[in-house]
Amino acid sequence: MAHAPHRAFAEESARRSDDADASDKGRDVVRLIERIRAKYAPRITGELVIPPRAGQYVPFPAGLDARLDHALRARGIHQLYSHQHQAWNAIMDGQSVVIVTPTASGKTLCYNLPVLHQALTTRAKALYLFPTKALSQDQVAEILELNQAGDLGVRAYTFDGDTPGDARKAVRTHGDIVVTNPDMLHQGILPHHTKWAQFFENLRYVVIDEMHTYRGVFGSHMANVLRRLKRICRFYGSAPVFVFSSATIANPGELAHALLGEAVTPILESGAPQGKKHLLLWNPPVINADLGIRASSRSQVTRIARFALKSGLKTIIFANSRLMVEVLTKYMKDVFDHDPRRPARVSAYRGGYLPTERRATEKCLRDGRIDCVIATSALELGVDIGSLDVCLLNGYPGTIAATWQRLGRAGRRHRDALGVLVASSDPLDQFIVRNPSFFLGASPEHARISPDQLLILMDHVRCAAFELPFQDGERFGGEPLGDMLGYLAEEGVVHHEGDHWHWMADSYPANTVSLRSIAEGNFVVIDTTDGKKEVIAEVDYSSAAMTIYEGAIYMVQARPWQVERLDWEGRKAFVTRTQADYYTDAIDYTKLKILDEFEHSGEPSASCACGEVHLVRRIAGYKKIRYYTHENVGYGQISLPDQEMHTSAVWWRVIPAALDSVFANRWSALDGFLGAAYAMHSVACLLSMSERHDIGRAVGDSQADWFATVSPDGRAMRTPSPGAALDGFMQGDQFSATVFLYDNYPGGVGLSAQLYDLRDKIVEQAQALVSLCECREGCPACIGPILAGEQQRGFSPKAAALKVLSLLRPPHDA
Amino acid sequence: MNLKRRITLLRTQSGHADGAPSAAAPPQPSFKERVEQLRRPENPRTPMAACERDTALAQRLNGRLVADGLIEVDDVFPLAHAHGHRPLARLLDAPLGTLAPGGASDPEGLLLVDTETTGLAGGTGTIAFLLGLGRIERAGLRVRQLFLTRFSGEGALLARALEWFQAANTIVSFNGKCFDLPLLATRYRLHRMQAPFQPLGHLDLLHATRRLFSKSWADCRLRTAEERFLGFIRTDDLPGHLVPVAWSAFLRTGDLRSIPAVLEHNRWDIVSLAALAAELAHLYGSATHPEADLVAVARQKIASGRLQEAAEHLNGHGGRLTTPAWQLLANEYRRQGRHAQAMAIWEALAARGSNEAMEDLAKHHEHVRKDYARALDYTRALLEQAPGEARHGQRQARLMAKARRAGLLPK
Repeated sequence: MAHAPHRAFAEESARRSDDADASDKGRDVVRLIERIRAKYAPRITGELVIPPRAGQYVPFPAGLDARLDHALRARGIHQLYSHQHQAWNAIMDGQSVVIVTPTASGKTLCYNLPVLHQALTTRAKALYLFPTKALSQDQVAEILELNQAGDLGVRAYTFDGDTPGDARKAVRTHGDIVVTNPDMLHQGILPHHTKWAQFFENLRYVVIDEMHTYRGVFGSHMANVLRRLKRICRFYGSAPVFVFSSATIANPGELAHALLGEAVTPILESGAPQGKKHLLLWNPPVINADLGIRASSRSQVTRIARFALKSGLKTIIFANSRLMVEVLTKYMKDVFDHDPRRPARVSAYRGGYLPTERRATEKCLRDGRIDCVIATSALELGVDIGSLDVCLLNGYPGTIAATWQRLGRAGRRHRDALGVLVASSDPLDQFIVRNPSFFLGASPEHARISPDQLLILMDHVRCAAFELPFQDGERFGGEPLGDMLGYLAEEGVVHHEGDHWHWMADSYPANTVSLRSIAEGNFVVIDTTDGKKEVIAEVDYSSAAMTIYEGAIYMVQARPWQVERLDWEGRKAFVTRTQADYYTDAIDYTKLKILDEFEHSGEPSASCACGEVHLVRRIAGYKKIRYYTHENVGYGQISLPDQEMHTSAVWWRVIPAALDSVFANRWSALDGFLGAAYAMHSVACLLSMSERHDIGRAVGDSQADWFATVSPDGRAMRTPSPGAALDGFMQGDQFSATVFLYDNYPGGVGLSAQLYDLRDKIVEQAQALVSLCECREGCPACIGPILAGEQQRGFSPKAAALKVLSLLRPPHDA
Repeated sequence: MNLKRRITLLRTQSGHADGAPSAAAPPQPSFKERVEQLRRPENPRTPMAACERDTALAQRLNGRLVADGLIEVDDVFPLAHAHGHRPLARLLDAPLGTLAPGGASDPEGLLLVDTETTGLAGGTGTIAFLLGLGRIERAGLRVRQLFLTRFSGEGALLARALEWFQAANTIVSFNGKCFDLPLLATRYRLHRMQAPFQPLGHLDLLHATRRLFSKSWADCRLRTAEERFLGFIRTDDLPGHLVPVAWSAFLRTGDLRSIPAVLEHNRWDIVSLAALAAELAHLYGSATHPEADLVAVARQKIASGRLQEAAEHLNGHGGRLTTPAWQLLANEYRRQGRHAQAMAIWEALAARGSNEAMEDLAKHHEHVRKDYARALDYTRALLEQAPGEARHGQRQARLMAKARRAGLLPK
């Protein structure tokens, strides 16, 4: 995902020197790996080598506008990679495409080439959508450079919240390429489409970069924004071609299709050359085997970085938070920049810095004047910084797609490059470093969306009705539009007259719809420290009860605040800064009742199914957990209303006879279920590219007669429905223990259906996660925190979880 | 579960204060109102009934049904008609050109425009269901109102307004630059029609009003200007926020009781535009008003380079204007190198005891006229007023040196 022209230019001009010392540097990388391996072999859990690949080149397409041809040559580009040519052909043929190729393979040129050509020859207009503002600005800067090189006169502008009022009109009327983000399209452009009439009349291309970020809730919203965009285009008589580009995921074509609602041509083969790449998976050493505590990833990363810098290798370190960027920068500067008379060798790069500062750092990197940069995901995408030799990841970035994007920052075509993923103690991290196979072969990550999720769909029907009156017989999404409009008519916001539905409320619906969450009802977190009143965060309604109860420690960027007061009705949480050495974890009792079973598979003894459930969650209290030691240092009460939700779920069930054959009693079976559920939850997040709070988990029986949880008093406390005798379930045949994973959003967002498709993989990978964990009886990295007492009573929750998982595993490969 | 129940349920579960549709819905009518509504013949049950209802409504409004879903109402106010304190005829001799440089000076080219809309949200979802227009004809001020009885009448409304727009040369509105005109442009665009106001000038009276009165009034709404400036008090006026409610009730239930009030509300807006344009123009010329900030007018004229007008304006208001306004004008003259005019003002001000003007005179005589003796006179006078002031002392020393060099004083 690099700036193709720029990069290619930099590469061409650097080629001679590159070739000259390529073998030297390559040898340096190999030597570095040998040294690390010699010293730290036990910490390296996996090692992959990706062989070098020669570039596949194609001459510029016939008929390419001469000015553009000239501009490219002026930038040092004399031919195309094969995938750029393939994209040109498909796009010029009027096909919508999705381009999936690695970092630094010239992806941007795939769409810039046809877009600029058509802007020059037919005055066609294009809309570029990037998920963030920063990326938009980089993109415009790049087009402008090409523009300058060839004196093309194509006008590219960003249009976002920062665009000054007096410049907006010029963007609307003169922009050939308008670069913006989905939120701005949704709130600022579509509801004012008449002002953009000229633009929409001539709109021929819509480019959607970073497509893999449009998944889950955000992606479901995005699909609806695109429905609205296409509807507006139809009004102005245009039918643009859509160009998606994406990091590597398992189902790019499917995701593009779901987002656009029509078939999209995939372009998956990169023709860009690549040097040999080495990837090491690194697990910090265990320092407390009982509790499964490991050395910090931070200490490991700085150690490897020191080695690399001393070997003269240019290094980039990625951290997952801005705070961690600062900490790592300090550690590295302490070693390498202690002499103030010499130019700095180490630099930090993250969001929140001034654009000028960031541009300066980028330039230093391109010119090779900085040896080490520590960055957040801000440097993961788009921004051109030249190529580096070593890439260190402090913690797993959350998805394999993002991991590859970051690792793509290291490596030039003729050089060996090294990437090291250093795991933190988070379960996902631990899982990843113990399963190197995840990095081989096809991506395991599926990005799914659910554009017809009723609440999301209704939000956009509302916005679309505001933009243009709906006509009887029109379609929008998969639910009957007439019924939805009837609902809005009853609400008094639309009026049916003749065969049209007219908006008639005094409101601007797009302003109340956030693309990043479901429906309204978000809570704001207000910092009241020292009498100020500053909003520091927003919390989804669905996760509010679990995160901002009174007494909770609420973290922003790893800095702790304590919740002093929660105004449930007013949707506000008031917090103050604190120095607490503990974090808080809510204790919730979740009861699920199966309402409808859609699909079913497996054996009578152990089966898996998916369907619709009703769930009641009570948040009873919370525990305070000390950092590092994970010991409980106190409890608190929470009084909040019960949360009710209809959603979809996938569940695994074992009949009592099967359980009784492997467990001495049902209490220990329950322990096994709780541990197995924890592990399966982690794996499910990984496979579905979800955040942990997107998916909920519960253990109980399918009738909501009883359910189990980890409580302050011990693992697997059972809390039956009021009045029901528990003992009955502990014997006899009624005890059918079930693991539920559910969509943690009212109405669901399609995650469960996906998890059902991946059901065997989830159990299989959960088994690997638990069995490969180096702890003794269980730890937060595999089956969840265990109680100190359990080690003493000689019971192994870990063994119990493995027993349950093997019961759940389908017999054909058990 | 049907769709409605599903939505309601999910909305409740996702944190909506109220899952059921009701928040935006108007209050339920009472039983009596519902019975009356059912009895009312206007209540449209069939297209035929709707047409009859519209005809009946048109009669009631003294207008006529000019197209499907569109009622047109014309009223003429003779120029002798007093709107508040003053007759509309004041528009005829108002120096309209003073309000907007290069704008219309001919009252017959003005087109007064005001819309009533379904809301203030803007964007494509807001519709003008009543367009009020006004212009000066031989018989007086003609107000034409185009009222929608249905969404489907909008095309006819926009088409019918074209003729009036095309005959005019300047639009007069109150906040129309930000609201009414962009909204109408959107409506024309949605009906795939060319908006007719591209070539027209636009006089937005809100800006002129703000400039004159924002210091003395709590707000600069049209209603405030009517009461405090025109002396026009509305009785039984339908409050602005109820206007959209009235139309939506009419559409939904056929309840037309508030519709005449909506039209009257809009009609007074148009008449007020005419009267306000006239009175503001007179203020920008030579008239006065105890609450008007006439210096602001002078300042604006100076800023837009109309110094002659500014001087006339300041002269016209004679002693009522404060020194700073004159000072401002003198500075502008100086900046343009029109020293004679600047000096005349400073001398007048200095005679009234302005130290600032005396200092300017000292500088002027020192640097421009090189008349060091006069400059010294002014500086000495200043030092008498403020003996300790360092810069006057410095100027005196410098002037003495210069005077010596020029042979005016013994070395």
